[in-house]
Parts: sequence; structure tokens; C-alpha cells
Amino acid sequence: MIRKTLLIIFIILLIQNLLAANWYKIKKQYENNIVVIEYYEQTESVETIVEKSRIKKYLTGILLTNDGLIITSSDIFKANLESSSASLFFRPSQIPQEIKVKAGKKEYGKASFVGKDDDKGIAFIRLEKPVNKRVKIVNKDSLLIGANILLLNRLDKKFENAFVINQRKILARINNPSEYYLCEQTMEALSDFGLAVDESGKAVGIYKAKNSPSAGKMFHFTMSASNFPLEITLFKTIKNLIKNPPLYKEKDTQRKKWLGVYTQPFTRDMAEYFGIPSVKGVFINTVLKNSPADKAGIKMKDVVTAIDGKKVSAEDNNDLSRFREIIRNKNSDKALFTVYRDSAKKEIEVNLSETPISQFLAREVSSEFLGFGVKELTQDVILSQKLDMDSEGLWVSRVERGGWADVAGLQVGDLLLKINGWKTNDIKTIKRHFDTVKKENKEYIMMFINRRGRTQFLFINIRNESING
Amino acid sequence: MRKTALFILFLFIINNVKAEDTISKSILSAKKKVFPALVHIQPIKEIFSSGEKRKVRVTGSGVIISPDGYVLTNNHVAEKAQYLRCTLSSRQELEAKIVGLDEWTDLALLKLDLKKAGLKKVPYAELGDSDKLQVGQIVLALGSPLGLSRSLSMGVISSIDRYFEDMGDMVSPYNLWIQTDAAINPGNSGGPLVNLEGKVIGINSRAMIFGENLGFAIPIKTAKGVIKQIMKNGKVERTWIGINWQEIREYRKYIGNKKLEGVLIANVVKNSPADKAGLKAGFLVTKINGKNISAVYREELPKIRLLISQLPLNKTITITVSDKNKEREYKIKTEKQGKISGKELQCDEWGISVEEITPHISRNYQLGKENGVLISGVRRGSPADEAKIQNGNIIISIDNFAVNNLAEFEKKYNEIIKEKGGMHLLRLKIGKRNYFAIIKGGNND
Repeated sequence: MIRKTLLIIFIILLIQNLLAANWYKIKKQYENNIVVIEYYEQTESVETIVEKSRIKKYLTGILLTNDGLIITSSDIFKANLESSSASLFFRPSQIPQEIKVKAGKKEYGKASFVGKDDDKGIAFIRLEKPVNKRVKIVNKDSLLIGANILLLNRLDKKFENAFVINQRKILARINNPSEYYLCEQTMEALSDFGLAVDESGKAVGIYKAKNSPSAGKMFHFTMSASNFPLEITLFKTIKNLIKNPPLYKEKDTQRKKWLGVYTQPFTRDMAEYFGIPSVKGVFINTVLKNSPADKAGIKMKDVVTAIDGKKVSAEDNNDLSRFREIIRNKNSDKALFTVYRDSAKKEIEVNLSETPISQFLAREVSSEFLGFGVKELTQDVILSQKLDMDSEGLWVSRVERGGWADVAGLQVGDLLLKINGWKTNDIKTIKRHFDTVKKENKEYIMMFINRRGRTQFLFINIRNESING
Repeated sequence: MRKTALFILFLFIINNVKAEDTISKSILSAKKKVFPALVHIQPIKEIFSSGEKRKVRVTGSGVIISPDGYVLTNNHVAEKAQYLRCTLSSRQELEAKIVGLDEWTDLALLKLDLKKAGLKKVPYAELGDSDKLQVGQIVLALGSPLGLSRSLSMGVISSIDRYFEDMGDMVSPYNLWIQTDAAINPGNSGGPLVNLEGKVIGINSRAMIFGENLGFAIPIKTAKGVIKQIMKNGKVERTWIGINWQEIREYRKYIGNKKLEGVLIANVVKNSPADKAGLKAGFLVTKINGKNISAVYREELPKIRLLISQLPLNKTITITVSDKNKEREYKIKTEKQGKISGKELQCDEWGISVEEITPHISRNYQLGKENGVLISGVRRGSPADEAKIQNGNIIISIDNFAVNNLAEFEKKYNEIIKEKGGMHLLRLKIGKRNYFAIIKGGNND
């Protein structure tokens, strides 16, 4: 009897052992596929026209395909590509340069930037010469709360970029705007990005640190305090992105769909106020002029209850991100909105457009001679600077510290309306004006600007002779 | 030889003592003239904070300028005062009433209640001439710095034409400033700046934060004009045409004409009289109503603004624009200058205070065409707070009624709070976006 029991216990233990991940095996299996990405980030400043310095940075990446596709954190290129109300400055608008990849002592050579998805916070790079190595990803359907999860990463340089495994437990499942899981932070690794492997050793997803919401995004570095949990996203959620990675093509980068409204939750109080107490939906509080919503006839105070027949609703601000997600990720431009207007149901067909570009993608033209640069006016600048939607002019994006324009009092954020009497509405012609000004070599140049809604003239005084003769 | 040296040294000492003696004497005699007219003002103010009216006691200074008890001080000392207690040099306490306020120059005129105090007359100070001031001249600043009453400090005039651009609510479009190194601290505000003859030449009003010995006084000439108007009408009315001016110092160099006279239009306010008349930024204005005007340096701009502010209201004026030696005339119908700060209203039931949107506020908040009222405070835990209404939001409409100004808002608000229960939809503007909030009306008990 006792013998039998012991045997059973022994067998159970053996099975458990066999099932449980063997760290040594995992190390062997994944070590060469969890790579160190080395790249240069341009340090961009509004106070210089020419980029003078760059910083070497490191991130962890995961080799996904035999032809050298690597997934990593979107921190590799921090600029927001699409119009959003996020802060305007402090982020480099140039893609990472001189990317090199290695795994431990194995050099995988150069790689180039492919593209990124800001909503998911991931980016892709590709090796120039494939190394025929990859992580075998598994599209697992879900993770159990309380289950062990192994987080694979690389340590930073002072620990020789050693391969590191952390074991954590799944603590929570979040469904908004799309499914992900939370676990506790791990020790500080090379980056807040790595591979998540389940108990049986299968690569099931990626993990990322949830950045502190505001502070981290504003600066070059990522702030991940230990009190922010790690987010695990299953590969199934991003499998389409892996299949067709987003392609960065400067202004021609494919962008997500855009409706052009601001929304707020449609609360029970509001439903009662509007006399439709049982209706749930998303409340449109602002329709941007000439946006797809405006053109389709969506109005302020409309309550959207369904998109293409699928119900949508928002009781609090968190729910709004799902609404945004649905629109942004729609496959086709056509969308059928079911709305309540004046307590009557209506169906409105909308032709969604691409999200307008952000100022990071806007073309910049600068004059080293005058010491400033301008960008075409993008919607995010208009909204954040509280400008009229039909504002004219180019937006002063840089002013060289101590340059002639700086001395004349030009400030970043000013709208340049005219230079020497020539209208400056078009980024295509400004270069010519800059060239003419330089060629004419006059002592004084007049600029007509708009600063916070008020126009004024600024005079640039070019002094050719230096005091040293 | 030694004797001679000793003698010379002796002479020097005597001389020095004498000089010191004279200055000291002048200061004392000046002090004697103005000190009795110095007033320590302690207004009880009603201010709005976090959506509630609160009373605060502040402290400032002033100077009596007539035997029947008119007191000159700063607008920022007297404005919003519910009660004004003034302490004279003799330590006698009197009540005062506001005769008139002028926020554009930061000046105020008060009247002491002599009757109540059983007085027939009070000592007063004479007003001097601020046009004859010189840099380096010795001046005295009198007042109650930081509430320390009856204090005097001495310095020299450091500059007589200091120009300040508008900064938020700190505006001074119509005057230049006298800069002095006589110590001016908070509480000195409204006190007199005095020359050695004992005459008031300025009203101490500003000091530079983190600056040392950088005090600024409003020239008495500016005050004289304000006093005259307040005495006559109880207020100062100014004419407005909607132009921001720019000096031509650099413009002259740009177009290569060193003798050019005139003043440049930098900005024309949308829908202003100047806009309607077709004036545009970049025009060079040479005459107003036939009178030549010119500002080569920006220190010359206040006098042009002053000239316009004194033109007759609701009348047509002629502005002459010079363009390549040809002159063009524009007829403009003048309007009244708007206010800087607006009236405030406390809305207890909702837990907010709202402020009238003046042209000044509209410009600072870049509101554009939007009409409404500005939320200046939200009480914590109030219905408005629960509805996520925030400071700085603009109320555009309530239910379907547009509230274009404070009066319309007040009317609608009073109607609503009389009702019992019910819900109301407020349309608020935050920058370029709207926010709709539901507020439950009336007392639900």
C-alpha cells in the first residue's frame, strides 16, 4: 500500500518535473534568438538647426523569422507618427541609425528599421543578412491567472549582456482596449521589453513595462518605476502585425483610420437627460471641421451606439480607448455608424480617412544662414497651440541658439506668415525664399509672424563683418 | 608744510559734514511735508478661491492729495475691497470709500470719511511734476512695506523711461515707469515716491521679483490724468480702435530710410473698428486726425496709445497711412476700451465661481469667437466637481440656451436653482474641444 502510494507520488513528481520548464533547456532554446539591438538615436533639440550629437542606445529584440525580422519596443523610435494631442517636443523625429544586432558574443550584423505601431508599442527591424534563426512562436489563446510565466531578456553591458530569465506569476487579465496580462516587475534588464515563455517553455507573447503615463513619454529615456506592472501581450493579439509589419515610409507611412471627433462617455445621467435611458453608447462632444465625421454629417451631441452593427458603449474614460481602437484598426474606409440624435435612431455611412500626420512626419526646411527652421502646419500643432483650424503660415520648429533669428526674437511655436513680404504658406516654396534671402545678402530681413494669435514684425539684422576683422 | 596739510584735511572734514548736513536736512524737510499725508490702507477684500467667496485682509499704502481727504493708491490695493480701513500718520483710523478704479494704469482714488471721524480736514501732500525728473536725482519712497507702517527709504532715480510689455494681468500700455533703487516692497504699493522738495512725483507700484533695488513707480503725470477723469465721471473711459502698434527703429533700417517717421501696425484685432475700416498689419501710420504721430523707439508707444485713448468715443476719426510717399486716409468709428478683469459670480448650488469674459481674458485664453463665461473656481466635492467641471473651462450653453455673457448666465442659473430636481446639460469648451457635463439642478432635499 505504502509502496504504491509512494510510486504514485513519484510518478506525479516526475510528470510535474517533465512538464515544468527546464531553465537550462529554455536558455539553450532561446538564447540565440533574444538579441541585443545597438543603435544611435539623434539627439534633437529645438535650439539647433543641424543635429550635432547622437546617443548610443540598446534594446532587447526577439528574432521572429528566418529572414531576419526582429520585434522590439517602439522606444527605438519615439516620435508619434500620427496626429495626436501628445506633447510636441523632446522626441527625435529621425529613425534609429546604424542598427547592429548581436546575441551574446555572436554578431548578427547590421539591421534596418522597418516600422512601428504606436498603439501596441512595438517596432520591427530587419537584419541585412538573415541568420536562419528564430523563436518559434505559439498562438496560445489565453493565460491562467496564477500561472508561472518566464520572462526572457538581456542584461545591460555591465553584466556582459547576459541572457536572463525571470519567473513571475500572471496577476491579472485586462481586456481594454485589447487583451493583455499583468505581472510584477522584474530586475532591471537591458530594456523593458522581452519574450514571455509559458511553463511548458512555449514562446507565447512579448512583455513590456507600462511606462509611467506622462513623464516617461516626454523625455528621451523611458521611466519604468517598479510600481508599474509589466504587460504581457500574447502573440495571437499581434499576429497580423507580425505577418505584415507596418512600413515606415516617412510621410507615406501607412496610417490608421481616422474619424475626426472627440468623445466622452455616455453616462446614465446623460441617457436620462436625453430621454433615452436604456441607450448605451459613445457621446460625440466635438467634430473637427472637414474631418471624415464632419463630411459624413456626424454632429456634436450624437450618441454612437454601434459601428457596422457591432455595439459600442462607454461608461467611463477607459471604455473610450476601445471605441478608438475599433475605428483605428478598421480594414476598410467605409463604416456604418448607428447614432441617436434627438432621441431618434439614425444610420450614417462614413468614409474614414487616414489619420493626419503628426508634426514629426511633417517636412522641415531650415536656413542655416538665418538660424531657424520651419515645418508645415500639422493638425496636432494647430490643436495644441489653440490655433484656428484655417490658420495660415509655417510653424517655427527650431531656432538656433545665438543665431540671427534668435537675436531678432523669433521663438519656437511662432507662425511665419511672410518673409520680406513674400507669403510663406507653402513648405515647397520656403526653401526658395531662404535661398533668395541668402543670395541677396541684405543687412535687414523682415519677418511677419503670428505669436499666440497676435501678429507682429521681427527684423533680422545680418552682420557680415566679424569684430575680429 | 605739515600745518597746511592738516588745515586742508580739516577743511575737507568740515565740508563733508556740511554736505551730509544739507542732504539730511532736505530729506527731513521733505519727510515733514509728506509723512503726515501717508496712509496705511488695510482693505478687506472679497476674492474667489476654489469656487467660493473668501474674505482676505491685505495691506497697502496711499497718499492723501487734498485737504478734504482724497487718497491716491494702486488699483491692485483697492480693487475688490469690501471695506477699507485707513490709518493716518497720526495713527488715527478712518474709513474710506472707493471713488474710482482704473485697472489699465493700476491707479485708484479713495475718499476718507472725515465726517465720521469728526475731522474737518487732513494733512495732504502736493503733487509734483514728473516730466522734469532726472536720472540720479534723490527720491524717497514712503509706505508700509510688508505691513510695517510709516516707513521711509531713500534712493535715486535709476531710469525715467522704463517700458514694460504686457504680462498677463500686469499691463501698462499708457505709461512709462520711473525706476528707483529706493526699497519698494509689497505693502509699499500705492505709496508716494517723493522728491527732495517734498512733492509727490510717482506712485510706487511694482518691484522685480528676485531683483534687488529695482522698484517702479507710475509717473504722477499719468495719475493726474486719471484723477481728473475719476473726479469728473467716477471712472476712466478710453477709446479703442483695435490696433497693436510697433516702433519703426528697425523698419527704418530695413527699408533704408533713416528719416522715416510714423508708427507700424503690428496687429489688427479681428472685427475691431480698425479691421472694419480696412487697416492691415504692415501699414505705416503717420497721422491721426491730421496730427503727426511717430514712434521710432518702443518707449514712444505709450504716448500714441494715450493719444488714441483720449479721442472722442463713438466718433469717426481719420488715420493717415503712408505708402511709398503716397498718403491714404482711413475713417474709423471709435469704440470703448474693454475691461481687463471681469465681474465674478459665485454659484453656491453648483459649487463654482464664474467670471465675465473680457477682451483681455479672451486674448489671454486664445478664445477666438467663443462667447460664454469663464469658470474661475470649482469647490471640491461640489456637484460641478463631481461632473468633472474644471477651472478654466468656458460655459458656452446650458441645455439649449446659449449663455453669451455673465448677465445671461446669471439669469439662467437663477432660474435653474429655483427648480427642484431636474438635470441640466452644460456645454463647456476646453481649448478646441467641447465637454458636456450634467448638473443636477436645485436642492433635492
